[in-house]
Amino acid sequence: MSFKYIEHTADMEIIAEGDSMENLFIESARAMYGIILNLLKVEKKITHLIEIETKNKEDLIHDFLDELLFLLETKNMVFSGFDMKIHGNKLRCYCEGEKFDSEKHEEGSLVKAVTYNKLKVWEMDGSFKTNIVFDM
Amino acid sequence: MGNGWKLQNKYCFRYVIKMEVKKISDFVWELPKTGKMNVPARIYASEKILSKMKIDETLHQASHVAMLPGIKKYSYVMPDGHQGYGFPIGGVAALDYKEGGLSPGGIGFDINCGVRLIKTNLTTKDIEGKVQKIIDNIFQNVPCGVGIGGQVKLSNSQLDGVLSQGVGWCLENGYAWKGDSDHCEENGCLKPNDPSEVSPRAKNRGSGQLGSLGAGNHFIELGYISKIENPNVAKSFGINKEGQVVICVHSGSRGLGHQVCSDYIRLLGDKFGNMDLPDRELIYAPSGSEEADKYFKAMASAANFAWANRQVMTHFIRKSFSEVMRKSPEELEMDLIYDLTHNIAKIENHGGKVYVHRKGATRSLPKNHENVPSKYRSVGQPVILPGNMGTGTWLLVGGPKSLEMSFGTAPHGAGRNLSRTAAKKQFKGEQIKEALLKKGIYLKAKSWKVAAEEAPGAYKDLDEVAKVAHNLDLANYVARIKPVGVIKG
Repeated sequence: MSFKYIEHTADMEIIAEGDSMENLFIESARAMYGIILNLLKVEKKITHLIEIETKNKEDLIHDFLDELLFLLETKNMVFSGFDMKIHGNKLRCYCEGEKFDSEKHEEGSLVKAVTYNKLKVWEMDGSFKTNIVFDM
Repeated sequence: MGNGWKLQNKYCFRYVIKMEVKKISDFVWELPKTGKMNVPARIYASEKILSKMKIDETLHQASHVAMLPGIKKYSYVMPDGHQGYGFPIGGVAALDYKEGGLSPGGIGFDINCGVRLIKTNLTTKDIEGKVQKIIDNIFQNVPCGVGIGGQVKLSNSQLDGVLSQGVGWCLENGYAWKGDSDHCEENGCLKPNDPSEVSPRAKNRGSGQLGSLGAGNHFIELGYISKIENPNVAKSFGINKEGQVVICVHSGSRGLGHQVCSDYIRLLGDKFGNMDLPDRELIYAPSGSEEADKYFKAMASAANFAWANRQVMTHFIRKSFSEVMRKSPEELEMDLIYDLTHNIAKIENHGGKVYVHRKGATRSLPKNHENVPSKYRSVGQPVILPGNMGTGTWLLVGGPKSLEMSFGTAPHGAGRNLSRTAAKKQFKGEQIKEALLKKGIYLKAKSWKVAAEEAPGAYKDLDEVAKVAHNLDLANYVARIKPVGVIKG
């Protein structure tokens, strides 16, 4: 399981990898939060359930990450723990985290949106991968 | 090497079109029409700028834009162009109103991201020793950075008022001066709009964010006129002397606009499939379709939110400034010079009705054009070209060749040339603050990581970008602004 940031002039591009679809989604969330804050500082105090169903895996990962941005903007919540199950194009995830605190969480940059540019989820050599560009 | 699938990195293949750039003149380059391109691409750049564009996907993305239906003349790239998603940043395309379409990705997630310039009657001497206080006071009154935090919390009906009226709502609610809307592109209210085409989820994101700066490349800059290039035009804009203090604000439609873009890209994908396009971000609502009508109205509503957002921030900037200076904003003559959008699509007439998409590009109208505010009509529309934290801003005026050469468009800023990851590796936020202070610029940043990402060295040379625009008569020099204080999210 891992993720890395790819050179992109204006925005942030990631490649993430996981040994399961669930872990791929979790790595992608960590990569996105890694732009916004220091995830190691986020304590698991509150649990929030996210349930999403879409037509394909690309939309599913898009909507999952978009929901995390939505929760940050509307509820001020950030999450570091993810207990996730994916069946087909349906996701159920118990997210554990706390209220965002700029100093405690070492505020970084703001991700404006998860774009559809290059968005792809695929399986190669027994592991799951994704390529995502975040609008900054 | 010809066209074909190339290995982009360890994991990614990408379809790459061979890029042969033809020189037309010193600042004009062309990508000839090949493959699925409907028109050639025209790039306005110096040789130095073009060499940077060749490194990332700017030209590749310009060729993608040329594949859109009903595209007129050329797919344009402005001199501050760089890689974006779908369209390049600095990308301009006019799609036929009847046989083309409207592409949310050609506008971007931050609908009506834009910039405004506010004047004062003060000079640098008047604010000597007070810059830090002014900046700290503004920082206190204008929320910025990650998370919740607008200055104004809106009920559902108030939000609908913002979405349908833009700056007009601010005037009714005490956040604007009479006359502010006259100095906004579209008078601070794009029509036709319809708040009911904006999803409840987008409204939820926007209801708590009015009057907030955001983060990333958004900023508030306190500066002064360091050089007047065209005194007559400057005077029309309210710039009377070198040393005059001005304030520049750069922000957009926050989460509300981002959600509108996401919603409609999904909706269009579900309805029309991938439309045989090389990038999902290029998906469009075909001209005449119900979706084109709905998206335009939703986009216009989000654009109005952005105008109101910059207006509410202006209210609190005027307040903060006047508290430090112990004079009312009216006494300080803190009038709005101009507010423009650089992420938008408009229905315009260029020898026929078209959807002009400007993504990271500024409308730039010459003198005597009917859409220039009456006060400026005899000289042309103000064009504001912000740079980075160290170099300040150029104030330009719409040039005589803009309509003919770019559907009335000029660049929107300096444009990046280093990625955020590379900038963070190269610079440290605290060091940037020290270096700027030595140059007489006080930086207040919510996050040091953002300060490093936005380091002056991560941007193109603003003067080089302005030089190309000026030489091509897309927009002409009026005055140069140097910063003394900057707020970053």
